[in-house]
Amino acid sequence: MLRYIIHRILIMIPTLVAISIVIFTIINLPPGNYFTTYIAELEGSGQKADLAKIEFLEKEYGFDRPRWQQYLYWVGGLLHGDLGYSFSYDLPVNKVVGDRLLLTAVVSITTIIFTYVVAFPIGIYSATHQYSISDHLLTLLGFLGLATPSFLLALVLLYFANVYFGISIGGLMDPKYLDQPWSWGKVLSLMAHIWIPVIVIGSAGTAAMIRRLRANLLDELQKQYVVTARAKGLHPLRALFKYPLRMALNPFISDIGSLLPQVISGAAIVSVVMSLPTTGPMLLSALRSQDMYLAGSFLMFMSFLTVIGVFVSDLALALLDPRIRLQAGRRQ
Amino acid sequence: MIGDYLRATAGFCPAVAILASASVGPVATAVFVSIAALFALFGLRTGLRHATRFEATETGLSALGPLAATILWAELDRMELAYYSTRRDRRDGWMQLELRAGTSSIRLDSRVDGFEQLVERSALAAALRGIELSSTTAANLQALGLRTSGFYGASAAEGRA
Repeated sequence: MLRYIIHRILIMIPTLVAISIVIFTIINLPPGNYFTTYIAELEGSGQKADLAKIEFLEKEYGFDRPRWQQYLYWVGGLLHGDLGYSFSYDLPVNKVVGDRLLLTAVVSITTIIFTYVVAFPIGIYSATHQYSISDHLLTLLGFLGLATPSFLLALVLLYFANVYFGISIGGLMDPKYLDQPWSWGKVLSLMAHIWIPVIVIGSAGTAAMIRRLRANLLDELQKQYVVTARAKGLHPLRALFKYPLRMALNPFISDIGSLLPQVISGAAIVSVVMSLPTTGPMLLSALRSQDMYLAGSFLMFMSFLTVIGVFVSDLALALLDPRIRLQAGRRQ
Repeated sequence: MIGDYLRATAGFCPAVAILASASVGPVATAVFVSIAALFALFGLRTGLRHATRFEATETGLSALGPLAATILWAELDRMELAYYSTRRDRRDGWMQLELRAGTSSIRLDSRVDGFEQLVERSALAAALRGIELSSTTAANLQALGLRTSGFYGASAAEGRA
């Protein structure tokens, strides 16, 4: 297993280097940089920019150097734990991201738990009661959940909550708690607000997971070993949980790879619609204003978590099922 | 083994170089120290395995050298055969055989000369001892062309005799 871990880590290094090059290239594709955009904005509104300060910052952060040197400067900082400086927030990226990271993690982890708690029993029930009325109803709900864009569901909920109940369900807490230290009241306010973004963000994922679990479990339940187990009188629950369900879960272990970046990225569009103070809207605004270090470092951090997530899921699969795959009687 | 030595060096040296080059934040320090330690451990284990020789006899399997251990076929308690591959299509991987008897255990991978014969002999011993193999081990034995049911048949036949 140690050899496997070492192999996987060594594969991760060139992967991360390639990702960093792609991120740096894409962020630098639009003409100009943050400062040229900033000067244009100021001039557009009839104000004068402090050119001396801008020239100083351009020199300080290496914007006057060739691209490859800028890349090395950025990557060198990342390796030493320095994510750079956000020009639009006038703060180090670590500080800008840190404030929102906790709330994003709370929303995302709650969403993931909600997705699993709702999807698993429904998926199992649908598979074990195939083509029953309840299965058809749950399938219909699943397709509705898959087909409805999350931001649209958010808009509909915002509208109905406002028109019929006269309340605003945007944000993650009452306005009086914003920028305040954590208190019991703030936690209660967060808990009162969080269920709507969780349902909105989690609906599509829950529906998709129900469909996949149902399909995987149906595949397993029709295999000969399950038929034999039932024919030999094994208790139906044991014949379900002992092997078929375990085998049906393997694809979900592979999904761990995508869970980690989800936890910190937040659903950007839903967050914008619902005014959630998460990292999604921050990334969007950083990309629009060409705040290179904030956007680049945050994207790199998400990519790093994706690579780590895939690594963890590969390790889990290697631990749970380290078997050779046979195809048409030939060893692979 | 040369590949493993190169891998250990490729992981250990850059991690140490980054730690030594400039001031590194606490999180980055923890990450790079862990990486350096992991690769150092791997290099050490590769060296120990390099110096270990395996000897199979009628009575058991012995590892001679720094990782010395002996497994008697008559005392075999557990047999696991795993397959690892870092590729998505699961090709170009390697197998790892783990044998356990009481407190002794031997692990060897498919780069050892005569690996398939050792697996065959271990599977026969496991069958004769009536050890229940995991579905993963059974599948991997089948991939090597070894029929686990045949061994159980042999076990049952011997039991009757």
